[in-house]
Formats: sequence, structure tokens, C-alpha cells
Amino acid sequence: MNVLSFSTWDLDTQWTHEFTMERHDRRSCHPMDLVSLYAAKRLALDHEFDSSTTSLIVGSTKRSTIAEIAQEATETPPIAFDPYALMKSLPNLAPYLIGKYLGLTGLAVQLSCGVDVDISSLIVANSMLRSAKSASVLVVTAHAIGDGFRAVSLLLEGSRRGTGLCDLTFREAEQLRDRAVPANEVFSTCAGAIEAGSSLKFGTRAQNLSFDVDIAA
Amino acid sequence: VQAAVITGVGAVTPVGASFTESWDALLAQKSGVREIDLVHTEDLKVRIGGQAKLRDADTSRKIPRSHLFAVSAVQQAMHQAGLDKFPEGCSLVVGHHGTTREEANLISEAIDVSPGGLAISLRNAFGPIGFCHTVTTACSSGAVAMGLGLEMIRTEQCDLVLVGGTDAVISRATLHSFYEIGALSDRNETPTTALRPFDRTRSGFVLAEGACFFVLERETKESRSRAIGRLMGWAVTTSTDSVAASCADGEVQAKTMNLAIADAGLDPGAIGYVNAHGSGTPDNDVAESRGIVRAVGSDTWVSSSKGSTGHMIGAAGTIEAGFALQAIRSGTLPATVNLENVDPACEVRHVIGSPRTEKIRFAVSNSFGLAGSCAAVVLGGI
Repeated sequence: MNVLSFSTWDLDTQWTHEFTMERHDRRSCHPMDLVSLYAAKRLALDHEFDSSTTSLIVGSTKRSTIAEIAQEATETPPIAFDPYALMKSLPNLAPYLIGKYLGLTGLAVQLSCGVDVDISSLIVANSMLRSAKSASVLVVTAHAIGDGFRAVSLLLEGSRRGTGLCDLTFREAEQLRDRAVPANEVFSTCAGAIEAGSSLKFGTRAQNLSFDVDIAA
Repeated sequence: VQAAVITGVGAVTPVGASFTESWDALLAQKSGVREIDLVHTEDLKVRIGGQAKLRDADTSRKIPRSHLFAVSAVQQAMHQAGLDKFPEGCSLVVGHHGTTREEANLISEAIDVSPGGLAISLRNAFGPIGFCHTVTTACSSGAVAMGLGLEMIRTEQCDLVLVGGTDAVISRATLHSFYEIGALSDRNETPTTALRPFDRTRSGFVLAEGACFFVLERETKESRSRAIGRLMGWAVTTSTDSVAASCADGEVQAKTMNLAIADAGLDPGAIGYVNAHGSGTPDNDVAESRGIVRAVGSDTWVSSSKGSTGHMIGAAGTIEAGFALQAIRSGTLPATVNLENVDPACEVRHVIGSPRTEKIRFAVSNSFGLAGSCAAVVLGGI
């Protein structure tokens, strides 16, 4: 796959409403959704893409927060119900918000596969590109990092060496390479390598499988 | 255009502990909605739901209900496909909205209740598995999971993939919050007739739980000999008009159906039956009716299964695709349970009153979810 652009956003250090959002959207955002939206919007500022042929895959370790709103809202009804609480709990709020603010109305999928979600997102993006379901795929993954949240967005297209920032390939591997990164840091590691303009090969383990990931500058 | 063959289907629903039981109940126009006893509801506005029938479940193992449903449905599907454990190279794509607080509190903290944890429960039951993806696109999760599974076959990532949906979302939180946004029917005194898709008197959906899984395989001479149908195409789009409301004019719904039909290599005129999302909410049913007419015209037969099963959320897309497939196989189109007086704003060619004998070759199953996720899958016979 060819990486056309990338962006990162850390919510703990960049908690500013740099981008215009409608007030009710801010209120109904889970931090994981917000950081995903910001990473996607920052990428869109840097790189124009065709919203009609770009698919969206969002992966996060955001759990279904039905449990969270239960704590907020329903211990002893009757309840002063916050109508935004249900929306905030939606596992797939991020693709809606990103679609709304970036004008993406095509294929959009939210994955919530735990810490494996980086590699799951790569696999699904690869499927969409190989089957020509999409000309390009915007992949955004978000994770809790320390006290905050980090999202990384990558804009990918089918491999056409030389047209983007770098090539990104991955494949199942018999065993991990010497340099291994946790499954949930795959995208951050990719972004770091791309930013540094360096090639990088590393392995990751997810879903009982080992993968090799190559970044070719 | 490449299809995948379906070699097995299994389900646990409010009207049956198996797919066959559920289909028979749908044809008999039975409803699985009743007073909820899973959680206390005396102080809630909504006290009815579709609790799944689970037979011979090993409840001594502390795993969430949604995982128990999935294990049972997968077991049925694999049995029909001639499997007793996951074959080497098998993958899994699951639609799963999430785990409720009630479920989470019932089980040990050591158990992973995140959506990805479901794969662990299935691995424990059926052995090692390859790629595992968990899709959480609200009510369209099951349909999207089917589509991603089809792409894994098409792109030769695997030869066999289990696709399905499972959810156990009946909780005090969901009953309360879905009611507050106007989505749920509060006809507590008449539970079996509370969910009334396309009817003039519809008042919302009823939360339900359960699971439905399919075994999808690459089409070969051997797999075709065991096949019960084909998954031919799919599509998912996003409506960004509103996080909660349907696209009112049906444009997005029609676009989604047409993309799925084109992905299957078919013309809209080939579609003989649409298993509608048909949630029984005032807005959805009008918008979906408009979308169906725009996509496939007004001569295509339409029914919704939710009057029987309730709304199984992450599993809705897969159980309804299963019913659409069974309609093709049996030549019998199920009627919409509880549809008595069609809303004039929902004018499509309804299957109403009783099942209809009709030979069809291809069917569409629609699934529309919160946050604007619209999905459709196309099924075909063998």
C-alpha cells in the first residue's frame, strides 16, 4: 500500500478546539472519537483527497460505552437524562463525525478489536484496496496513551511506488522479527518512520498471528 | 464479481434456539417479545423485550450472554457446514455493538468484555482461528461483518470465514436511553403486537438479543455441493444528515441498495424480495419505503422480520439476511408480523397477512443504524 499522507493527534497536549465543531457534536463526543476526528481533519488540511472514492476505516480501543452511560444515567430512574449520553456511547460515532466534517459518505467501517485494532484496520484497508472497493482508504486508529489519547490517520492507496510518501507493506510472518512493537503501536510507529523519512521494518503480534510491517521511504 | 457460498447458518433468537426454529416461528407469525425478566424494569417506561431462547447453554462458564449466543449459533452453522472445530486458516468477522453493564457485572474481571473479547470466547470453544475482526457499526454491524467476510474471500485472504452478529443489549441503560430518544415502543400491555413495522399505528422498535452466524467459503465444486446459498454483494454508506435520524427521502438507502446490487453483478430488476430493516419507528419505515421504491421499484416484495424477533441490534443484519436466504431456498416469503393497516407513506409491495409462495432468485437485506450507517447485502440461491 502507498501512504499518501499521515497525521497524528495527542489529546492530552493538544486539547484545543482548533477545528470548528458544532457545539452539540463537541458535547456528544467521547475523547476517543474526538481525537480520531482531529487526526483525520489535520490530515485533510495537509492533503486533498477525493471524498467520493475514499473509504473510511476507524479503529479504536473505545469499548462500547453502554456501561459508561449506565453509570452516568440510569442508576435510579426517573433520571435527568442527557440525550447526548447515548450518542456519546455509540461505538461508531467517530466515522459519522469524520464523514460529516470531511464530506465522506461512502464505505465507512468502525472496528473495535481491542489492542489488535491497528493490524485489523490494515488488513481491512488492504482488502478494500485489493478488491477495488475503494480507490483510497483513510484509516484512523485511536488508543488511550497514559492519561490521554492518541490518534493516527493514514491515507492509503493501492501500491504505486513513487507517488506518495512511502510504501507500506505487511504480511503474515512465521515468527516475529527482532524488532517487535505492540499491536496497538503499529500506526504510531509507522507515523514516526514516515515523519523521519526513514525506512523501517518491524514485527507485531496480533490475534495469535505474527506480522511483518515494512515502511520503505 | 465473485460471490462466496454459504455452507452453514445458525441462530439464537427470541423466537427460537436454532435458525430452523426461528424461521418456523416467523412463518407462523409468532412474536418473541414479552415482559423482561433479565433486569428489573418496574420503574422504567419500557418493560418489554425480546429475550433470546438459549438451549443447553453452559452457563457455569462466566462468559457474557452475547458470547453464549455466538457460541451456540456458530456451533449450528459449523455443524451444517460439516465442521466441528475451526479449520486451519479460518477467519472470523463479528458484528457486535458491545457488552452491557449488566453483562459486565455478571462476569469475572478477568474475562475480556471488550468487543474483541468475543473472539476469545469463540477460540476457547472451537480452537485457534486466524484473522478476527470485530465490527461495531450499530444496527448494521452484522451486515457489514458479512460484507467484510466476503471481501476476505474475494481477495484470497482465506478460504473460509465465519461471519455473524451477536448482541445482548437488554439492560436498564439501553431500555431507558433508547426510549428517551423516541426509538422504543412502550406498549407494555401488549408485548407481542408492540413492534409493528410499516403499520399506521407503529410506535417504535423493541430491543431484542440473539446471534446469527454463517459459514462463508470460496466457491469450488466441493463447497458448492454443500452450499445452501450465496452471498453475492454488499455495500455500506454513511448518512451524515443526523446521528439519530434516517435520511428522510430515502436517497442514501436507495444508493446503498443499488451499490450492493451492482456489487453482486445484478440489475435492480433481478431482486425479487427485500427483507427490510423495517424497525417500526415512524421515521425509518417511511424513509426506507421511499428508498426501496427508488432502488428496485414498487413491484418487489417486501417484509420485515422484526415484528417477530424484535430488533437484535448487532445481530439483526445477519438473522434477517438468513431469513432472506431461506425465502429464496424455500420459495416462501415471510409476512411482516403485526402489519395490519399499511401506512400510506410506506407504500411498497408488502407481504402482509400470511406467508406468500413466490419463487425468487435474488434478495436484498437492509440494515440501517445509528450514526448514519446504512448497509445492504445481496443473497442468491444455488
